[in-house]
Amino acid sequence: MNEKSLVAVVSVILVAAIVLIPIGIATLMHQAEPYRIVEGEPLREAAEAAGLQVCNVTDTLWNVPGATGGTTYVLSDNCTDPDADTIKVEIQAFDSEESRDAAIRTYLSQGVGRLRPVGNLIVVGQYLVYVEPYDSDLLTRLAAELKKK
Amino acid sequence: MSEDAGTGSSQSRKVLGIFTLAMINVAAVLSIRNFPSMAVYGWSCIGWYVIGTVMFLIPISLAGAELATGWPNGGGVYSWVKQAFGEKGGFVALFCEWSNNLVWFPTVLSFIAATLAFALTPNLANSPLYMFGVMMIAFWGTTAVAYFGEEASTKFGSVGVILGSIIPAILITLFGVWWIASGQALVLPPFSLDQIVPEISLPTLPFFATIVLLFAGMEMAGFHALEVRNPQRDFPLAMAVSAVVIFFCTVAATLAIAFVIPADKLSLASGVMQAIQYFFDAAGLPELVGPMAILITIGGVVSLAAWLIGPAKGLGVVAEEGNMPPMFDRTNKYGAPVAVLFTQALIGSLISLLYVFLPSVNQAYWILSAMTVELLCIVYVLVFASLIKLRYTQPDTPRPFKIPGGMVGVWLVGGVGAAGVIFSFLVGLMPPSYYDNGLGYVAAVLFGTFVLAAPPLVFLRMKKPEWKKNGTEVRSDE
Repeated sequence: MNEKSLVAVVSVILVAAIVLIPIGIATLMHQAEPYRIVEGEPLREAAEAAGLQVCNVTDTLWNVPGATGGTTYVLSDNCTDPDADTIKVEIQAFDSEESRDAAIRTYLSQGVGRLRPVGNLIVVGQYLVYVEPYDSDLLTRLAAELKKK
Repeated sequence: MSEDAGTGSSQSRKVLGIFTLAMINVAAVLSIRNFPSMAVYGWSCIGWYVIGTVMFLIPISLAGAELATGWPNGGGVYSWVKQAFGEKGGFVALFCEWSNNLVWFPTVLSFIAATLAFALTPNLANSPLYMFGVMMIAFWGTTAVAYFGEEASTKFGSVGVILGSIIPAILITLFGVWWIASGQALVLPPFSLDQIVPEISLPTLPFFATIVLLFAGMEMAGFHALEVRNPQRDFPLAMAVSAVVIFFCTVAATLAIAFVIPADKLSLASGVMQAIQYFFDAAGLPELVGPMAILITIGGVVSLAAWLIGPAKGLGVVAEEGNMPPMFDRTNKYGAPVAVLFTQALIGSLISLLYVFLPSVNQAYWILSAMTVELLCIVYVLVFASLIKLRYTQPDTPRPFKIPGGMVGVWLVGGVGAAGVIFSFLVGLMPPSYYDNGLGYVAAVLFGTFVLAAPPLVFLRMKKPEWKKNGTEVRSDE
């Protein structure tokens, strides 16, 4: 192999590495969540297990293909305390893995500017859980319980 | 693709004026996608936009204007940062801008495909085959436009940005005005000054950091310096025109949406077109939803084109200067960097393929997008640092546009810009609450960012004198 070919091969390997390494890292950090049917009301159950109170509940239907309905919860440590932290969490069921993953793609494409979208999505079986803001103590506790579902 | 081994720089035709330069920036920055996300914040979206404007839009516009008029060379940020920090700094800055694109491409391509599906039949968005097919047509089609050089891509971009970004923003604004004028109830509470003040707290810090970089892309015109008729006069004016168009279109259209759609109907998980549909349904004009979807699709394509062409041109200049193997410096008879464009299209297609067909990857995209934030921050920190350093190291270089206020003005502009960007970099390392391995998250983001930023160091280490094309630095014949 002459030097010119070597440079070309190294360049291609380098270019492939910048694709595969970051994607590999991200995939390892974020294990795939297979589509499966989770029974009951996983978000309410997770909130109660995390010691959170459900302050308000409303039905929600996301206007995306395959969404079959869901619920918006307002959660808090203490619903009667107006100063207590609250989080709004939406959970939406999907009729197939394709529609659920398409909704994830739609969400990811809504980035503000060139950056990440507002809030975050958590996948629980057939559900997508949308949380905003994504950084709060209440969500940390809730997410720990959701992971057990 | 057949090409001759011409030098893009030597063949550059001066085809760009104030309007076309401004439209390049508008295409890169103005996005309908932002409006619903920002409208959720009601009146306080004004405050958030002001923060983004003061902390980034104004500093980057001023910095870009001074640097582009002082060093109107090919390569944009590469050329500017190179003047201040040498080849290594310039190459790293440019490569960060290019490599963060590779991660961004699948999301904008998926936006284009899903928005077009909305105009046809929304269920198509659930089909990975449809999504990938449209994404590839958009990606390779845009690459083909870039292949035909500056004149073709500029015409395409200028027409496209008017159709796909400015007209939709104006239409949304006009309907908002009509909504008020016709006596319809506003869903926002009555205006008061205290309502435009955004809530800044620990949970809103990630959003704050996002806002700082909301107007990223204002440097895009700089990549086209070699094709500008009169860079010293045109750059500052183009920067000003684009900043004003972007700011007013963004604020007015966002407020129009906020006036009409209740915040609880603006489900951010649903998407822009759902908000647009609600908006036009409320206005009694549901038949406009389809045409709007097509216009917004065009807006997505021109935004893609602006980001696809600019950094690729910059990388072509780097290759011509001998900092990359000769296989990357090939240009065609139109002066387009075909080797870089082709490599970019191949990598982008591969990532898009994984994004659409591997569910674990599209869920993993959150962490990849965190890396792109960090890469963008590296670019802008280097640009602001260059602005300040060059005032000390090259004080006598003619700068037809100079940031007013002498060194104080430069430190203020560069300092505010850099502080905002460094803040965004640090916040970008904050893991979302549901990550139970915070340290692992930080390490992964930093390592991934390093991998995406480091290739210039490898190329420069391998560099050979014979890699240099024509033996001269690429510079405008001003």
